[in-house]
Amino acid sequence: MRLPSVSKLLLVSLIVIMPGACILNIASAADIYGNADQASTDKLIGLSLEELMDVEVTSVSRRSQKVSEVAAAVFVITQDDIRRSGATSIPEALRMAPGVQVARIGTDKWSVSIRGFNGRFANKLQVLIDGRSVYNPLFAGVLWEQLDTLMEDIERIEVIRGPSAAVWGANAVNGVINVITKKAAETQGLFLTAGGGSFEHGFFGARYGGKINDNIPYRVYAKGFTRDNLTSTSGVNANDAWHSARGGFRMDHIRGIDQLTLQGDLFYNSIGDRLDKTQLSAPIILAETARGHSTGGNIRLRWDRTYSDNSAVTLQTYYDRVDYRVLTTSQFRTESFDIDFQHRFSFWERHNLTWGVNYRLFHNKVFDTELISLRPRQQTNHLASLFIRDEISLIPEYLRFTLGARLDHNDFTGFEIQPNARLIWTPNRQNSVWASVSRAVRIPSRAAHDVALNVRTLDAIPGSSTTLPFPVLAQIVGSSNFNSERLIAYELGYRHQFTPQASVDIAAFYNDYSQLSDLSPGLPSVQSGFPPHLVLPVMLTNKASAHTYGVELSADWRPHNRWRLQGNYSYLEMHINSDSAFKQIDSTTGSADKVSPRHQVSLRSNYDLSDRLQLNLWLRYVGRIELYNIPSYVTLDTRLAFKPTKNVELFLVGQNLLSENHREIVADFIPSVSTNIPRGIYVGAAWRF
Amino acid sequence: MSLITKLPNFKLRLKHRLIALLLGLILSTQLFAADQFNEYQVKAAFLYNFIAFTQWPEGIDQTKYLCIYGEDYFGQEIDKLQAKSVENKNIKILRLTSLEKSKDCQVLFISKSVIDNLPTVLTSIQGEPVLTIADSPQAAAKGVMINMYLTQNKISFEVNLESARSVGLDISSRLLQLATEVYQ
Repeated sequence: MRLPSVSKLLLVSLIVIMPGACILNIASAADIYGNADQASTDKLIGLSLEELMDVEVTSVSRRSQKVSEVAAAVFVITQDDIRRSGATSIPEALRMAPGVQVARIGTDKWSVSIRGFNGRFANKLQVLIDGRSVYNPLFAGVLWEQLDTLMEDIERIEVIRGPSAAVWGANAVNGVINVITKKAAETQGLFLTAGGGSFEHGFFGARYGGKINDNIPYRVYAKGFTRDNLTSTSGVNANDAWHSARGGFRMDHIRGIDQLTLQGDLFYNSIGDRLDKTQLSAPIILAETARGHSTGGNIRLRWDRTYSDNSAVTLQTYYDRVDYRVLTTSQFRTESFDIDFQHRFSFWERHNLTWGVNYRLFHNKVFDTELISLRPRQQTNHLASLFIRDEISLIPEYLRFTLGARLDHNDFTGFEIQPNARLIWTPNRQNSVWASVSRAVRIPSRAAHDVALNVRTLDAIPGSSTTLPFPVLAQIVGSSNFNSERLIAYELGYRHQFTPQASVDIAAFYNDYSQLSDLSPGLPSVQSGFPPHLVLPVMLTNKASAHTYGVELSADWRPHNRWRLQGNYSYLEMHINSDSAFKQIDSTTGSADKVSPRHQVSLRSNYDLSDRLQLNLWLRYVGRIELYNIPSYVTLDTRLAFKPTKNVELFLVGQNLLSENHREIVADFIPSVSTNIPRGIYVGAAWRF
Repeated sequence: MSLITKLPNFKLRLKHRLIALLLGLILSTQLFAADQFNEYQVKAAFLYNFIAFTQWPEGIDQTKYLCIYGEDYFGQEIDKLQAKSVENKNIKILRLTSLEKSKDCQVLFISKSVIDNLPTVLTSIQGEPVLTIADSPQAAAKGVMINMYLTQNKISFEVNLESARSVGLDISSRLLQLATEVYQ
């Protein structure tokens, strides 16, 4: 079955690419390979000074130019990519990056991981926005509905596959996602957007950027939306309609060699859930639907002092608070305080050294519900770390070696060391080859130590053939012996620039995991009450191991000034070693190899039909999810944008156009009903003054 | 399964879309209007003009070495100037990794990556007829002869005439007229 669907996909992609092929014949051959720029530079040199001063330019982001020099698998999603994709949230935008698994559980819930081990509480991926971590150390994982901002204010999203624990700290095991918003100076003026449609019922966004004085630009923004609920595969309302309001500000101050940033956000989300009663059967667990809200806010201060290109210090501190109350499933409150210092300098000509210290305080309180309880209810956790990295130019401009390590101390497992070594060889401007070896750990969440989580009702005790007169409730029980999960990763990459308009990037990896979390049954005990039932404690152990490998390929080609094609293909193979009795039903580890698609393809075509009209097409293929019996799917998003005047843009976006519904994944830990992801269409407008 | 059963339908719809797209594309070739240039493509063209509108003292070789010190944001764009000659001046591009050879340059572009070292850079060519160009805030006020900057996606420049005159460089009045500010 897999092969025909792949070949169909190729056919579909050919059809999408074909119209472009026709245009190539129309354009002169000289325009295709590199000469286009020659022609335009010639054109520029032919201009008079007055004319030159009137040419509008697009500025080049310095960081993105340097992607070709990074000894890691990095993919950058730019503001232009986000806008053209029609994505209305950060997790949806992440579907553009290779090696990333994104699956929507519900309107307000996603599973996102890199290089496998996906799940709603995927715990091996570190996520930051403007240097503020949104990884939740309470139960490990990211609540994606809390990570949001005005999409137009995002400068770029850096997606780093593979461990970067040496730089970003613990839990950056499989990768890091780094959302970076624009500087206040880049968001001056008034921006308004509004629209609505079938699934995206309605949205608005407003931002104003001004200046207190020449050195203090600022912006304030507000946004809100309402999104429809999904329908479960059995046809009932999934109760997950999502209403959100958010606002924030950013202020930058540049004074000589110092740069200060003060930034803050507040949000309110109204969200909900419906539990799958075949998983958690009544009347042992009565909870069925949940509705509630999460609110939160954060404030961040960053100070940069740049002595020179090779010497700088950075001090950053932030405070973040979230109140989450979705009853009957869960209620908690978390507060984080983080302070980080970094110093970068060069010595002996060829060494560029960066070192830093970080401290994080995490205060959390969990209220008991029918599903979850933690003992103790309230705790304060501390994490301290020290890192050092030396970038050595072995042969200046040709061969660079980076050696780094991070030493963490956490409350659960004590000291952890995470070293890494990277080598990059750039024989010329067109080619670069890199390799790396890294060690990373995923430290236990507080829940892994202290939780009692009712996960599902079972017909029998796994591994035993006796039938029981009582129903069985499986309850995950944390253990103070639970240790860190470990990874040693080997990576290899190659980049080639064919012409300034065409490039490819290939990365391959082999990940060797040990001490992975696994589940082992404890002794069942009879719970009296109504109805009488057995509670089967399920202990967390570190007995599983795994090895995974894969290849990610991405290509970028601008056949001419107005047309850009971007494609990527990701292949992932996972082998899990576990002798757990729960292997067949444990999506986190035991059956993790059956939760991430083996093949994924994304193809994007961004075409400027004229100065006023843009057509963007985005075709995706995602392989099947064996554990949940979810078939592979192909889907297409389109965005047609029209600019009647310089300041106004009207857009029509179609999402998941190729079928009325498709399935993506099933929730884990909290058994939300499995849903169908519908086709969606929305229209909107944006004004800039 | 659902993918395969949906495909014929999809292909049909796609056919219509294809025709529309093709029509759009053909039309668009005729609508081809202003190209988008990246910042450094345009800055390279400015450099060409700055060289054209500057007179070096007598006795300076007609081949002008345009040196780039610090990170090179121009890429291949700047190399294309080598194919051009301007009023009998041939342009050669040199990328400097140190300041040892800065005195051999007739034009020195000081990249923003090294602008923090500006005093050292200027000292290394003190008294030499080297046209200094930068693209960093305040650079002209600090002694760089021509400084480019971006305002509202367009490039403007300012001139420090005093620095240029002090080493015998003559900057054409046409340049001075277009400069947003001239430091005398």
